Amino acid sequence: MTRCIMRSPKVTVWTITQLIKMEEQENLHDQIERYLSGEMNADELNAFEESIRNDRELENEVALHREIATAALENDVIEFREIVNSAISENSEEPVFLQQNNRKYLLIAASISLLLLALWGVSTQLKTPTSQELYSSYYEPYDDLITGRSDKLADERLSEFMSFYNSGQYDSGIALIKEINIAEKPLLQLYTGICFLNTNQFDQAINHFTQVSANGGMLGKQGLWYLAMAQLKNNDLEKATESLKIIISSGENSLYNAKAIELLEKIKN
Amino acid sequence: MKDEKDIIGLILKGDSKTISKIYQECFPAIRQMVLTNSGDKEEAKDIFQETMVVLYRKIKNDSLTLNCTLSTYIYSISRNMWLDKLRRKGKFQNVMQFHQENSGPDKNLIDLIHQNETYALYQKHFQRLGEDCKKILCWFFEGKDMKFIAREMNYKSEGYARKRKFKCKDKLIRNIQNDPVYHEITEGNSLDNHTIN
Repeated sequence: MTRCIMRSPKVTVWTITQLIKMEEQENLHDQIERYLSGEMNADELNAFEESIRNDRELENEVALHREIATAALENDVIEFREIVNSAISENSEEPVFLQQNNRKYLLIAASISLLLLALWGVSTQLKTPTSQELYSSYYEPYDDLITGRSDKLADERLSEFMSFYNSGQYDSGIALIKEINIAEKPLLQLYTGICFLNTNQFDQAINHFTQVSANGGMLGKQGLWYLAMAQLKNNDLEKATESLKIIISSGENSLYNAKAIELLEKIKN
Repeated sequence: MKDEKDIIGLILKGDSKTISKIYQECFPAIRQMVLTNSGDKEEAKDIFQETMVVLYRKIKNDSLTLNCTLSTYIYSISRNMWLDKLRRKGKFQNVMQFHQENSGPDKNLIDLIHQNETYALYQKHFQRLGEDCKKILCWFFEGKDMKFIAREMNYKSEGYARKRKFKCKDKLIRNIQNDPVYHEITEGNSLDNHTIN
């Protein structure tokens, strides 16, 4: 992501780089939002304000967060601008090329555009989607079934792990889950596999999904589906095809069966 | 123009007929000023549009003090706005010449012009977001919590709502920061501190 707004002295660039590295982008958003809404305690506030004073980029980022919140809620200004824009359009004269009675050129241009559009449409339809495109179309993270179930959150680290998972901080999730025993806990193995999948650590992801599917039970299909996703993202169409065929061979009338049939069809094409 | 107090009231209400009349009366002079100072007609229209928004902001904030006719004041906002753009574009020669022929810029007005331009950029990118993102961010900016957003959007968890909010906001910020106008504004404002003061 392009974060640099203005070039700052070396020391301040280093500070924000360090911040980003440690907290990642979402965490930075979270800190800025907590700062702006006055949720920080005195120590946090002092430390954060010190960072702002020493870091021009962070200062700009905080200002941007503050200002977009105000600007986005200015519905009256947005509407007023549209009214002025309409008044300008209504009072402006017709474009010169239409005044000059050159509408035939406009028709020719429109015809060429339509032809190009049609050719583009045909070429798009003929193009076979790549494994990455298929992955992007079919992958979505598995829903959080843990947060909100108090009995599952006896371990605070688990709550934190799910928070990382839900916010897409998969690296932080992986670092934390290593401290938790997830053996014989297929749901946690599934979430861990998804963290590895999102950080492109395919061997680890495949290992976790294989364990989930081998365990069978209620999450067997999910394990197989995400195994296919990992293989697809890793450009291993052959193995992804095998995994999808196993899902379909169970013959169950489930959501994963329907999705597997549809995806397999696209891979074959 | 009729009584200026009435006109100001009608501008605040967003009366399109009044705004059309102002356009017809004021735009020719603004266009002439822009065209003779390195600009084109489209830029002149943009200047008129944002001049009206600045005027609207001043009326809304109750900070409009007229020591001249309303049309002269509108022209004055446009001139300052265009002068500021020229300075940012680095057309110093034009600015010098322009500056010699006119009185110096009003600092308060310049600040309002800057703020308006910055907000216009944010609003343009906000308007371009998907409907769901706009809804989520509006609620978030209004101070609604994730529980409310998750319920209104039919999301299964607050965590998911939080994730969606982050993605929408991150996209908005990236789009703004990648807009060349954003760099023009931020770099131009730091330039102002050296040239105006």
